[in-house]
Amino acid sequence: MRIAQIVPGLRPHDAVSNDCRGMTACLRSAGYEVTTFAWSAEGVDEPVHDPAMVIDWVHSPDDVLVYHYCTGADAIVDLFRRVKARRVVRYHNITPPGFFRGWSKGYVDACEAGRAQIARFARMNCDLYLGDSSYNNEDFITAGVDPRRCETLPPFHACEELLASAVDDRRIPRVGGAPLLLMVGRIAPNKGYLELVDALSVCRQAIDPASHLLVFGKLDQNLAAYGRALHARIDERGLRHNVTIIGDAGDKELRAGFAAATALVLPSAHEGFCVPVIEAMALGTPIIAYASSAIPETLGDAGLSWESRDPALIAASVGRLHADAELRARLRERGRERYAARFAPAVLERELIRIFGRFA
Amino acid sequence: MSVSFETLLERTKDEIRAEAEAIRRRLPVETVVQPSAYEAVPVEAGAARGPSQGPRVRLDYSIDELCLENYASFVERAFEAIIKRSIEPDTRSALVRRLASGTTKVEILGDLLYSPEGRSVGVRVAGLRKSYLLAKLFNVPVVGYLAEWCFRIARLPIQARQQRAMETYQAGRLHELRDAVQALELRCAELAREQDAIAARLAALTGDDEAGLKSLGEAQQEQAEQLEKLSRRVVELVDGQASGLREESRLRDAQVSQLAARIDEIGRHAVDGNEDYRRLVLGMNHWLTTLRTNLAELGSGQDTSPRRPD
Repeated sequence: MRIAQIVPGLRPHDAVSNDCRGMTACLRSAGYEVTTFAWSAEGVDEPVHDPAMVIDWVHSPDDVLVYHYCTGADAIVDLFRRVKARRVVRYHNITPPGFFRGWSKGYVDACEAGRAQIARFARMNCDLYLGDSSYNNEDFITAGVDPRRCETLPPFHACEELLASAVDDRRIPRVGGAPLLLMVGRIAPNKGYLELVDALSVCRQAIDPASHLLVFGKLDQNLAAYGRALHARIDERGLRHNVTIIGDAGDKELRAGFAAATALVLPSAHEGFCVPVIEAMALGTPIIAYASSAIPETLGDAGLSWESRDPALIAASVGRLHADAELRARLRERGRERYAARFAPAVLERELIRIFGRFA
Repeated sequence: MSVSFETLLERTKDEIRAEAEAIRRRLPVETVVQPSAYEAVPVEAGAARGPSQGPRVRLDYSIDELCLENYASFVERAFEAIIKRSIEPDTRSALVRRLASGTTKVEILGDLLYSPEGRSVGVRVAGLRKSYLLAKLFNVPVVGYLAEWCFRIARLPIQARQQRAMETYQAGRLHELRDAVQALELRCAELAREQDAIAARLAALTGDDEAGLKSLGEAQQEQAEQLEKLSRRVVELVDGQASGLREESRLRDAQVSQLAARIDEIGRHAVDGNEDYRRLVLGMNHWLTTLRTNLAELGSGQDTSPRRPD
């Protein structure tokens, strides 16, 4: 049995790419023959093939074709119709286009096109719909997929590499014991950066004037309008010297940021899984999160999750964590336990092999 | 009994909620966006949701639903639904002024929805685009006026029917209001009577209190006098005891002096007695020495004349 994986692009520090690489390694170690197909690849040390060739590679009905679905691609829908192999949709979710209205027409169109394909994949009656979370699976169940064809598998990730990495804190702000709020994720409207700036503003006024926000996140030029709005909000609140944005952080800097932070603060309104949550759990950073979309499922009780993005509530949470060493220690411990029990590579590998056992 | 982590977490969260409330009260209103601005809207009716999943933000509305309220309530509700945060006082006043100057609700909704912030939120209001464009068209000089004129003429029968319905509705409301005002007047009269009764009762209670306070004052004065007498007696007793103690102390001092003199005398006699004994012992010692010398000389025969002891 051959397994082909199609992913739109392979890049370093990309959640979908990490998942694809992790699945490849796991399935190979279990004795399967696995090949990756992508339209673009960078920083990858193994052969990656053009997706147009996949139909020649998985030609037997016993083979399995896995598509990492995170964007719209008509070519894959057509391919899924034609292929004889068994079909798996590995669903990482697509942000609802409403979040991008007013910021980027390109994003709105892309997200609309991507989400429109949910119904098309659902109608194909694929062999397996493998969501990062049960929140993701719900999209397919709502579109009419039999829940028995759905499985949940958290994404493979690079937390272990992060844990083993050295620390480089040269670009990490020195806050002199003041609260340091950390946010990890691309700068996009659904991530709630404007709300985060409001929370930082309240932190400065109510907790500590030296409170600082550290962001590890890139700004896509197609979302430049949102970037401008973010900087305008920062200036409006008088926070220019209290915010550090690092768009090109490597593992060493990420590690240093997680170690220095009072808490990972996530006001994100839409996440299909949220890998930074498990990175924080693995590295022992307390988490404060808005309990939206899949975040409660990923976080569980290993952090402070709220039904609101009220800045005063976030600021009070930061203040409490900053002052309460015992709470910090207990949340760290809880996070590490949850990571070990649910998201450690060995757990994911065992689960993936169990799921793929149906194709053996 | 140890507290479970879940209980501890819930307790901590309650404390954080209270602290957040305190922060809201402490900081100036304009610096804290109110919580409703960021709170998730309940899940749309019928939408399925997993047990552990968080709230989804409601993004779909109808024009009728948003136009149910009037005046400031309409503005607040529309703003919160479309922009997903509480309205600032200035914006609220500005929008209410526009309503008061004849701007339609549809135009307000459209302005909110198609503003940069509104578009960023991405709310959809069914059928709004067409109505909004029409409303905007009516604002175009000359052409807009003519267009609205035609539009209104075309809708005149419908509007006339709506106006008749509105008149009936308003008459009904007026009637209800009149009844309510009458009920309120009756209630006011009852309350005034109750107020008078309470005032009378208060006056009576105040009188009782004054008599009670007077008798209490007298009793306190009597007690004070008794206390003064008692304290004088205590002072006398203490003085008597003190003089007795002083006399006894003087007598004891005299006895001690006598005893000291007696001890000195005994001491002196003891010293004199010792001196006599010392002399006697020294004399006997000298006598014995002399005796031993004489005996020795007698033994050797060198000197036959006995020596007398000194």
